[in-house]
This record gives sequence, C-alpha cells and structure tokens, in this order.
Amino acid sequence: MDHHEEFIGVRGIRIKVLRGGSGAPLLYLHGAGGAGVWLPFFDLLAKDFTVLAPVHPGFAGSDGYDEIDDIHDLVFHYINLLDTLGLERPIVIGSSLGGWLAAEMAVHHRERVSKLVLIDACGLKVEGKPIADFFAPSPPELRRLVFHDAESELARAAVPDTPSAEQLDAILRARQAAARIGWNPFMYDPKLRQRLFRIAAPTLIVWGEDDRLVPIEHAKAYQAGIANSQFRAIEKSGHVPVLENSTQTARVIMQFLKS
Amino acid sequence: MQFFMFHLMPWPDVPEDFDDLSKYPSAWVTLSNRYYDPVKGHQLYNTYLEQLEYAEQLGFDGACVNEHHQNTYGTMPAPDIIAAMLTRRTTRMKIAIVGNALPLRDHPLRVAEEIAMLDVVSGGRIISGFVRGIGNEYFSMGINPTYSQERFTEAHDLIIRAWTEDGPFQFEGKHYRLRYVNVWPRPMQKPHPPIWIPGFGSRETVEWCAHPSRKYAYMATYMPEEMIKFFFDLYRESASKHGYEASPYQMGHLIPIYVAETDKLAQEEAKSGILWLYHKGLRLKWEYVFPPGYVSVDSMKRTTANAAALDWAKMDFNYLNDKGYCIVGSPETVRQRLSAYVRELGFGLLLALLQFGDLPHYRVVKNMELFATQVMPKLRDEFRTMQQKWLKAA
Repeated sequence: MDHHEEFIGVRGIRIKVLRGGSGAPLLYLHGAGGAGVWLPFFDLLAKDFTVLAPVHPGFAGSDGYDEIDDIHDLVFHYINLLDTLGLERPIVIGSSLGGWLAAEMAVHHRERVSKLVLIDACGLKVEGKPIADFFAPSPPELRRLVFHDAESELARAAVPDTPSAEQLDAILRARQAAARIGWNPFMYDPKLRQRLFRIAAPTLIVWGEDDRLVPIEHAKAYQAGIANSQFRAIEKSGHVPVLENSTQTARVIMQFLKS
Repeated sequence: MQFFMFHLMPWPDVPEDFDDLSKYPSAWVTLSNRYYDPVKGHQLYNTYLEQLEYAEQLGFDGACVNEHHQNTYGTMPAPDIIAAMLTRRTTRMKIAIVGNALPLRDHPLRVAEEIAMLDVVSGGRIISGFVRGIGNEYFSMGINPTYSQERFTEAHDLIIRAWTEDGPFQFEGKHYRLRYVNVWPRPMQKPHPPIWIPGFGSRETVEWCAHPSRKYAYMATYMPEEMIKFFFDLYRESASKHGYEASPYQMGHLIPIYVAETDKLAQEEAKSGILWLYHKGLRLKWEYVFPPGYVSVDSMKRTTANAAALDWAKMDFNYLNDKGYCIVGSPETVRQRLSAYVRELGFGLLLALLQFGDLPHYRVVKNMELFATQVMPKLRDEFRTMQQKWLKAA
C-alpha cells in the first residue's frame, strides 16, 4: 500500500507523521515501544481509511521531549495536532500507551472522536492486577513479557538483544519519553476510570488473549466504564496484537468500523 | 593531603549460593530483605560505627558515610542518621556525608535542616555531599528518573539559598514550591558547609563542580586510573577556562585500600572482601543502573560504549588491584602506589575504603592501624608543601 512520511509543526513541535490509504481519517496512536514504521496492520486499514500515524513528541523522529510531562500534556498536543491537520472528528485507535491516550482524548474531548478503539490499553488501575514493569527487564525478559511467542522472528526484531545504533537511539528515546509520562503512577491515571462515562464514541476494546503486560482485567474495566463498548480477544497474541496477529486484529476492527 | 576513612556498612551475609546469577541477578532492588537479620545487623552497625569512631583516634582528617537504598552493598539509607551518631562520639574530625541523594527526597528543605543541625551540633565539622542516587534507586524509591537531573539542580539551588539568604523568601521552582523558606537552624560554617560531589563518569557533573560559583570537590569512584585522570584533567581545564587554578582539594579519590605486613599477606587477607565488593555488592543490572532518562540519550550511548571499564564482574582480583580499582599491599607498596597516584592525578583528598565486603573487624582494625601509622604520616610529609599552599588559600 502506498504511504509516505511527512513532518508537520504542531504549536512549534516538529512531528513525524506516517500517512497512507484513502477514505475517512483514522488516527493511530502508538505505544511505549515506539513508532515511526509503517506496519502491515496499517495496510489492512488503509484499504478503506486514510491512516495517519504520528510519532509522539520525544520518540525517535519527533521533537518535543521536554514539552510533555504527563498524559494530559499529550492530550493537548493531540488536540492541537487534529487542528493542525484539519481533522474534525477522526476515528481514533490506540495501542498500549496510545490506548490510554486515546481514552483520555475521548474523555476530555468527546466531540473530537467519532469511534474509539482501545488495544491492550494502559491507563487504568485495577486492584491486584498491576501493569508490569517494562523498564527493568532485559531484552529477553521483555520479549517474554510482551509477546505470546517470545522467540519468534517478529519478537526478536522488535526487541533485539543487541540493537543497531539506530535502534538503540530509538529505544532510548522511547524509554525516556514513556517513563516521563508513566513512571509513577505506573502507566495509569488514577482519575481516568471515574471519568470514562464521558466517552460518547462507540468503542471497541481489543486485547491479546495472552497479554502479560497489561492483564486482561484492564479490558474488562474499560468495558465496564464505557457505555457503548464491546470487547474482542485476539488469539495467539500477547501485548501487541497489531504485530503478532495483525490479520485478526484488523478484521475485528474493520467489522466494528463498518458496522 | 587529607585522609578520610570511608565506610559503606555492607551487609556481607548473602546466601551461600549467591554466585548463582540466574537466582540472584542483582544485589539491589529485588534482592529480598528476608536475607537481612536485624539481630546480626545490630552487631554490625555498632561494629562499623566503632571503626569510624576509631578513625579519629588514629588521626584521620574525617570519616565518610553515604546513602544507598534497598541493597546488600551498603546499609545506610539515611546517612544523616549515621552522621548524627558520629557527631556526638567524635570531637575533632570532619564528618562527610557523600552524599544525600537530593532527587530521591520529596522535600529538599529536610536536607537543608538536617545538615544545618549536624553542622551546629558538631561545631562546624560537616561536609555536605550531594548526589543524584544511582539509577537503581529510582526503581527502589519510585522517583521519576527522567527528572533526576533537574530535581537535583533545583533542590541544590534551594538548599544553598536556604543556607545563605536571610529568610523568609519564596521559592517557585518546577519541582519544589515554597512560600516560606526560612530554615532554622542555619549552618555554622560560612557561607555553608563544604560541598563534595561524587561522580560516576559524567562530564557535565565535572564541569558543573568546577564552575567558579561552586568550586565543589569532585570525587572519583570505582574508576580505573586512566578514567580518573581524564575527569581530573577535565576539572583542571574547566577551572582554567574560568580563569582560576583548581586546588588538589577540589579533587578526591575513593578507593578500597588494604595494608598488611607483606604484599603476599595483604593479598591473601583482602582478596575475599575485594571480590565481595566488586562481584557481589556491586552486582548491578544495566537496566537498573540506567533507568530511562537518568542521563541524556547521548551520554547513555557513550556509557554503553564504555561499559567494559565498569563491568567489574569480569575482573579478577589481580586485575582489580593492578588497574587501580583497589590498592592492596605492604605499607611500602601502598605508600608508593598512592604517592604515584597523587603525583600523576593531582588530587588532595583521599577517601580510603578500609572495610569492604566481608572483611572481619579484627582485620579492619589492623588495616586502619597500619594505614594510619605507616602510610598516612609519610604521605602527609611528602605532600606537606601542597597542604600548606592550598590550605592557606582555602
């Protein structure tokens, strides 16, 4: 599928955006692992939608690390980004950290989100089921935490034991940008759950059935808090179904978006 | 030259199978505190305190304590408490806290208050070190490591102002905001207690210390000789760029030292403790030492490239001793090596770690006595000119 990279200025922050496909605009918000690469998953969505996948401030490719202190700064940034791109009411899909961000956007600016998809989203505190620490593990430990099949080619490419110089740069930037937002409380907003009722958009909650990083109880908590929501589990997938099972993930999302 | 006895107060009693790295990947953060026995701890703390108190009788210029959390390497999470005990048990020597980990505190004024109290009670004998705390401690204490540097700088500025400006005044920082800064008591030493900064390989820290508004003493820790030389040279260059000559008393060297009757005996007696320190106590996981954002991305890349120089687990005893990670030998050997270091590196403050790992009390005492009677006086004589010139200037 045709896609390209562009750089835009959002209130003075230089931001990298991947763009591809055609149709109604769909904003994809990436997770803490990083971004900036066009995924096979995007190809499946780009058949019917214009996929816009920006890189969050501070992650490799975008500036603005020092502009973002918490998730709410990121929400403001993305509302500014929607204004910059002239997107009135896109579909918003977020994975992991990006899922948390998508939920916050839909809470604070419900008029700006037409449909919402949360994929293995952080953001909530669920008693007894904390989000796992993904900063402390070594690369092999991290693969076991993130992936259903920790030693697959895909997992080893995503979390390499000995990263190249370019990969190391991206990893270090992703780690610090994510930690700044989510070190403590660890990747959640204590007030988010009581505010979920404000979400007006029809919502799909998608979860890797083998997610060891954000336990599936978090999916249930999102479902309980969002009135118009449905839940779909993804087989043979850990925390990142858009990578590990992109076909099924794209299929359930397309069904939801077309319904 | 000035001589300080440094202590870590380690918990040496690790499990017997501690060499199993898969079972014990780190001596920090996750090593369970079920291995800490308070009854034995009672004995250990008091023995360690006696060792530091004995340093005054032996003629040391001071004793050093420091802060580390949740590990077996050093059991002084609250160094001001240890300093307080020493304050009342000593009368002459300096007590150096190297240092309080500023970003780990939610309230920097507590540091300003505690140090001021200690300085007043001790009659102006406190040296106040400031550190960021090592990366591990951001996991242990829940503090966001991406703000480590700015919290350090801001807390430092607040503490210095609290010590030197008449209160009350208002402080509006990014991390600390106080309408009424008005610290009672004020420190006895003017303008404030001397400040020492232990460093661990950051160029920015050296340049910050050398700035004429600060002139803080920089302490090199656990580095090989060539690395120390690099940082001390950098200090001197920074000073001369600012138009002044750095004093040897702006540079300190922390190093484990063991003195016995002969080289052979010294090596036999020190080996287990030195290896405990570098292979067990300092067993660290890269991800813990460098949490996200603890240093800049560029520094992190440089550090990753230099990782071998600090990968102590791969170094055997002879390598550690030869490369200057420790100094072990007869009084004459130790004197010669230290003399050569001082001439080569140009530092004036020696922080001698005379207890390390599982080194038992009777050997610590012997080590301290041999060092204090057969090494220290000769080095004092040798570098007396340095002493007179710079202490007069200070």
